[in-house]
Amino acid sequence: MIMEQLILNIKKTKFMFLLMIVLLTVVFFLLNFLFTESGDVRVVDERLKTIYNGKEYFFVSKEFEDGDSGIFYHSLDRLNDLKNAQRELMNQQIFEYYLQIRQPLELVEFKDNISFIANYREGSKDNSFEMSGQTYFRAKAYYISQNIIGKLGLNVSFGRPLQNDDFIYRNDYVPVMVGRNYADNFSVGDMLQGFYWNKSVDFKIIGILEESESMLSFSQDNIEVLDDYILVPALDFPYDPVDIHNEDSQPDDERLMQEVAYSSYLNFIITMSEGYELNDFVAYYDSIRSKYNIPEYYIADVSMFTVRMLQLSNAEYYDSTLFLVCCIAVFSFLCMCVYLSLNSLRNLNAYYTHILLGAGYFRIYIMILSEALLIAAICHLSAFFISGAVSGSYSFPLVAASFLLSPLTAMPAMAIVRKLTGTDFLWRKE
Amino acid sequence: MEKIALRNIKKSFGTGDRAVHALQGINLSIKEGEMVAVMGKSGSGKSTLLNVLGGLVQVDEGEYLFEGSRINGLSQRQLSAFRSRKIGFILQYHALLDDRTVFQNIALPLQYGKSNKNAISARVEELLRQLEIYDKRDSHPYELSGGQCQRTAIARALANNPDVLLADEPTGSLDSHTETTIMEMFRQMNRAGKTIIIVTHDKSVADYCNRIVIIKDGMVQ
Ligand SMILES: Nc1ncnc2c1ncn2[C@@H]1O[C@H](COP(=O)(O)OP(=O)(O)OP(=O)(O)O)[C@@H](O)[C@H]1O
Ligand SMILES: [Mg+2]
Repeated sequence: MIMEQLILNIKKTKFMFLLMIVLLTVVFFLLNFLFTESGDVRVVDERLKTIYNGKEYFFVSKEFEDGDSGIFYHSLDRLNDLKNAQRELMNQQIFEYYLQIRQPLELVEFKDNISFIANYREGSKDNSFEMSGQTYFRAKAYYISQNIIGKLGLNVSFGRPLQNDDFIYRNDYVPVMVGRNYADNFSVGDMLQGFYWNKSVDFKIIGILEESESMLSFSQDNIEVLDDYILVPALDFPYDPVDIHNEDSQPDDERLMQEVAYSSYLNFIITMSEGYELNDFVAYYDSIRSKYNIPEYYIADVSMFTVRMLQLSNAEYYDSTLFLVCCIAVFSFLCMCVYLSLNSLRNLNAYYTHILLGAGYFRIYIMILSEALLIAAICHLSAFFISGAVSGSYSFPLVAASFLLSPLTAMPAMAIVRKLTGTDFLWRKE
Repeated sequence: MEKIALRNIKKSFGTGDRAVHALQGINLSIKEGEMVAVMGKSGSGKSTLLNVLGGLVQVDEGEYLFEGSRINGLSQRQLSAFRSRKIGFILQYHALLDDRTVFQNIALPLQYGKSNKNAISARVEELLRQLEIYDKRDSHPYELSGGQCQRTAIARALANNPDVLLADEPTGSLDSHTETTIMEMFRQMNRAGKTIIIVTHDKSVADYCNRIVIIKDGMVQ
C-alpha cells in the first residue's frame, strides 16, 4: 500500500514529477554522451582527424530517411528548394561541388556481356527484372556532374565526350559515354532504352572511352577502370515538370524523375578551395540546409550530429563542457533532493497518518527511495532510447553511479520524516 | 487489572532557555476497561501525553508500562507493531487520507496488520455497517460531513480491534448533536471492553467518562 501511496503522490505532483523526468533525462543523455561517445572523445577525434586531415575531397551524404518521404512533398516549392539548393552549392567559392553517383542503370534487352552487369551473379534473378513484358538489366554506371570530366580528364576514342549542353535535360534522349568494351557491340549513335531516375527514357551513345580509361572513384576510394561502365550525366532540369501542379495525380514520370534526381544530388563530393577548411563547408552547408529545409547529413560516413557534439566536447571545449555537465549533474542532484524533500513536507500529514496506523518509518523511507529510483529508471530509459536513436551506446557506469547516488538524494527527505513525531502535528499553535 | 502505567514521565522540547517542559513527571495508572478524560489548559501537555501513550514520542525520563511490559526503549519497528496491534488513534485533525476512499482509509491499519485481502474487506464492511457509513464507502473524506469523518476515523481506529483507543479532541469540530452521537459510540465501545482515553476541553464530553485526569503544567493534578 506504500506503493499505492507512491502512485497517489506522483499523481498529485504531476507537473514537478514530469519536470524532474525531463531534467534528468537531458542530464543523463549529456552525461552518457560524455562517458561513451566522447569518453573516447579523443579516439573519435583521432578518427575524424584521419578521415578529414590530408584529404582532398569529402563525401557528403544526406542522412537516410524512410523512402525519402522527408524530401518528396510532391509540391513545386519543395522541388524548387532542392533545385535552388543544388544551384547554390554549385556556385560558391568555398568548395567545389561534384557528383559521382555509383548506381546501376536499368536497361532493356541488354545481356550480351555479363561483365557490364552490376553485381553479376550466375543464375541470379537479381541481375534482371521484368516490367511491362520487357526484361531489364542493371548495367554498371556512374552518374556524374560536368566538372568531374574536367577534373579527372576522360578521353574518348570514338565520338565526343559529354559537354555543357549534355547536362541539361532534353526531351528526345539522354546522351551517355560508354567504356571501351562496349565498342564490340555498340557504336556511336546507337540508342539504348532504360530508366533514368525512375523515368523511362532513351539513351544515346555519344562517345566511347579510350581503352583502360579510368577515374578516381570517390565512394570506392580507389581507381576504377571504366571499360565496362556507362557514364550518365547528372542532368539539370531547368523546367518544372509538367504534371507537378496537379497534386492529386499519381506521381508521374517526369515529376518523380526530378524529385529522385535532386534528392540524389544531395549525395555529393566536395573539395575545399584554397584557404578554406572543412568547418567553413559545415557552416555554409548548415545555412543552405536551414534555408532549403534539407535533412541532416554525413561527412565521410560520420554523422554531422556526432561531429557537432564532438566539436562541443572537443579539445579546448572538452574540459569546460565536462565542467558544465558536472555542474548540471550536481544541480540536478540538488533538484532531486529538493523535489523529494518538498514531497515529504507536503505529504507529512499522510505519512504521519500511516505511522499512526501502524506503518513503520522504514516503509516510508522505502517509498521515498522508490520514487528516487523510479525517476532515475524512467530517465535512464528515455535517455537510453534517445541515445540509441542518435549514436548508439549507453554507459553502464553512469547507470550504476546514478542508482548508487539515488539513495543519497532521498536522504534529506528521509531526515524530514525521521524527525517527525506526533507532537509536530498534535501541537497546534493557537 | 492495570493496563497502562506511567511513572515519572518527563518530556521537553528544545534545549536551553527555549526549552519547553511539556511533561514534568507524569504518574498515571489506567485500568483495563476504563474510560478516562484528560483535561487541562491549552499547552498543558495533554497531546504530548497522548503521544507518549501511543509510542509516538521518545520520553526523556521515566517508565511507560503497557500490560506490564516496558514500551519506552523499544525500537521503531517494535513500536509500530505495538501501535498496529494495541492502539487505535482518533484525532480531530489530520485524521483521514484525502486521496483515498472511506473504504481504503479504514482498510489501512488492516493492511499494516498484514491481514489478507478477503479478511480485510469483510472486516471493513462490518465496520462500515456498525458505524452506519456503509453508503459512503466509496466517497472521499472531503465529500463527508464532520460527523461522517469522525465515524470513519473511529471505524479505522477500531479496525485492528485494539485494546486501547486514544482520542485527541475527537468532538472538537462537531456540533453538539453529532457530538452526542459520537460520545454514545465511545460509551458503547467502552462497554464492549475497550480502554478509552479522551483528551478534551469540553466538560460535557468528560461527563461520559468514568474518570477525569487533569493535567496542569505537565503534571497530573
Ligand atoms: N513538537 C514540539 N516542538 C516544540 N514544542 C512543542 C512540541 N509539541 C508540543 N510542544 C510544547 O509542549 C507544550 C505542550 O503541548 P501539547 O500539544 O501537549 O499541549 P495541549 O495540552 O495538547 O494543548 P492544546 O489543548 O492546545 O492542544 C506546549 O507548550 C507546546 O508549546
Ligand atoms: Mg492538544
